[in-house]
Amino acid sequence: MKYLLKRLGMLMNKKDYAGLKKVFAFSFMQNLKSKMNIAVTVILCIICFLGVPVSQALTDSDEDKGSETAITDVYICDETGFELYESIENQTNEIYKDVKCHEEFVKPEDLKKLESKNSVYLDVKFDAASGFLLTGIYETRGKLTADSVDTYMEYLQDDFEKIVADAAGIDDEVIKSLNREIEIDVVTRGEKVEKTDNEDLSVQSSFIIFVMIFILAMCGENIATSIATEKTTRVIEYLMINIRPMALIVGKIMASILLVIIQIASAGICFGVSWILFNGSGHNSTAEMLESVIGTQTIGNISVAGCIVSIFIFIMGFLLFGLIAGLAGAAVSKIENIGEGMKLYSILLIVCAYAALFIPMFGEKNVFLELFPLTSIFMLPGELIFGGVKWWIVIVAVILLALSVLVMLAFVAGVYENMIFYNGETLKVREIIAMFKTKGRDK
Amino acid sequence: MSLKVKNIVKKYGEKTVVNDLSFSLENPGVYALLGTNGAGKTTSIRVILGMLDYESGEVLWNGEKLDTSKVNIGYLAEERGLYPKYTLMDQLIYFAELKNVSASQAKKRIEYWAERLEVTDYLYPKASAKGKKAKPYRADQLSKGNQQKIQLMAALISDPELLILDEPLSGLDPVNSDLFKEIIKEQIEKEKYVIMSSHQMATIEEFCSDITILNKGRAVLQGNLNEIKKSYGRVNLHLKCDENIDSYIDKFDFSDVYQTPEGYHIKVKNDSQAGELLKVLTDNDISVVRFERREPSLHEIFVEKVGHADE
Repeated sequence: MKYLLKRLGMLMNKKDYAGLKKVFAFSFMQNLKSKMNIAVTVILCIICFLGVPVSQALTDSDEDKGSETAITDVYICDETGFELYESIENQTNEIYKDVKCHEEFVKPEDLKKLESKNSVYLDVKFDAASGFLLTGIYETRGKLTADSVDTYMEYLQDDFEKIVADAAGIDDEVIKSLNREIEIDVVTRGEKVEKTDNEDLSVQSSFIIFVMIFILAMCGENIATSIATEKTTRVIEYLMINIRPMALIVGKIMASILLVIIQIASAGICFGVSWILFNGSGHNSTAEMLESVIGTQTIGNISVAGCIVSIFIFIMGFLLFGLIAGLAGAAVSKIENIGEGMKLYSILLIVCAYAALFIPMFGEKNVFLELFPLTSIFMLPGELIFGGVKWWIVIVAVILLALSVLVMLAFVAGVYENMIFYNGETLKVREIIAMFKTKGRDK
Repeated sequence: MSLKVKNIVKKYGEKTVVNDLSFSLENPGVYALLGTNGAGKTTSIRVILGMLDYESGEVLWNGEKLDTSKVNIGYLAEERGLYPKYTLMDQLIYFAELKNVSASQAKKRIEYWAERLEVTDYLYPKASAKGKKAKPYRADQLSKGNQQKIQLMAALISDPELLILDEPLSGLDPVNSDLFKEIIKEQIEKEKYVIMSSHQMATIEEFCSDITILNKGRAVLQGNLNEIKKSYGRVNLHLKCDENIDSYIDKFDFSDVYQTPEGYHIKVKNDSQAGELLKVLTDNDISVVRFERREPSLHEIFVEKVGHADE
């Protein structure tokens, strides 16, 4: 403990970080040049760029195969008594806005007598017990196919609630309000009620957790392999003359963080460009899609402060896991044993991430998981961005996380020198702790 | 300038790897650190370089604690180290920058040393006949000998004041070995301080004025090589006669005698024993073709001091 405190004090020693900038610059440049990193970045960018048009294509294919419809006329037989004709006629959909609606009565069998062969006979019935029944009848002599009529009927089905509301003179906002989820909450007198959108949050938080698992797994492997390579190829002997171990490991982690930020930013830019390109051509499906994924209400909960604290937590978490990955890399003496060295790291990552992902699904929110540094880094960013966490929890969790990073830095500083000159079987946690207890010399 | 290593003790757990080691380099030149494998040479070097913690003692440069961030030190490690997948140029510039040599200065020095060490083709690969830009070489594309040259470049790129060479010639062919020797000699001429560790005793004798022989972490012999040899006396006798002299030799109590086509190689105990043998031979009218006495070689001294474990 005394040694740990001494090491904590030494962390403030500027001398221990001599050469940090050089290690960072070199590691970052080599990361950028790495074929694997280039491939990952390119794949991410391609996915993000193509994601928009592909999602549009998928959404469009549900609506219509093309941007036009072969339907020219619709003969409406409204047997509901709600006088829906006008609402159907006033539809604003890009594809169907030119379709002529007719109120005059035409029997289905008379369709073949009409001038336009591309007409649809729409029969609308209402039964208090079973609801609305929409039947579309078309003439096969024209251009119309079952698919095109089916697409039109699906469009009507999706918008029918609005059509009925319009006919009844009910405002859109009223409909939205009526459709909102109804939540219940029971609190003791004096307790502040904090509104959260738990269902939305669980989806978005899960997405963020998966992204973090991906980033931490990839970067952890990268950091550990880099350190193991330096150790096993003995390059470390050259480096250690001029650089302190802390500068070596922290420089590498920082380079990895910057790489991840660049990769995410590149992917984001590709997504943005793609959105501008494809959304600018008149399609609204992407915006609708985003809204449906994130949730209109959740978008409103996003706060700048929450995003900033989330980024801070992400960086701290990255440092914490990066240091653990660094130890995993230094524990092996042969590069082919890196898998063995990374075992503990992988288990820790999966257990913590999955605990953060699944435990909240089975019950109430778990405060321990929100505070425990190894799980808080997975839970808090999502909750903070979309506004689903109490601020006192965030403050305590950030303090605990910062303390764990400091303790881990001190621990790494204490063992790293011994570990990188160690040759033999892959070191176990017990042996690494024993190394830490070895008295260190104050340089 | 001077380097003083005073009473260094280094332990790995309970095992003492370097036990009270002291030596000093008062003048420019090459100091040899000798010993069998596991004697503590590399550990001593790592301690001097500040890489390892040690239990007690001190390492002084010009009377002050050696600070590797302030003293320009070049190091060629026993176990060679290069990043296998990075380009040679990138890593050499990195190693230079770590020693506060600017990238532009480093490039000039790399150009000089590449030519000097005959590795220009690897550092500046030529474009193909079709004009296609050549890919820069990575370390794992080089032979062991060429990797060693790149490592020597890394050690020399900062034009160090103190150069530490751990087994610099191991694994080199005779041509490259001579090239390395030539460069080491140049460094000596430039009045650099060099610490060299080697198992090749002939090389040590060629370069070093002062030595320390380590055995199990402890210095078993230290001092000026010539004086050490003198202290042993000229105990090696090379004798060649026209006749068989086995019967005369048997009368003496020599510690070691062996015969080759070139004559007898006898280890005499002292000057008078050699004189007595010569007297006996001349008294018996034996025609002596060769009677040569010389000091023991470093190899012989080493074997005597650390046993017969010289690899």
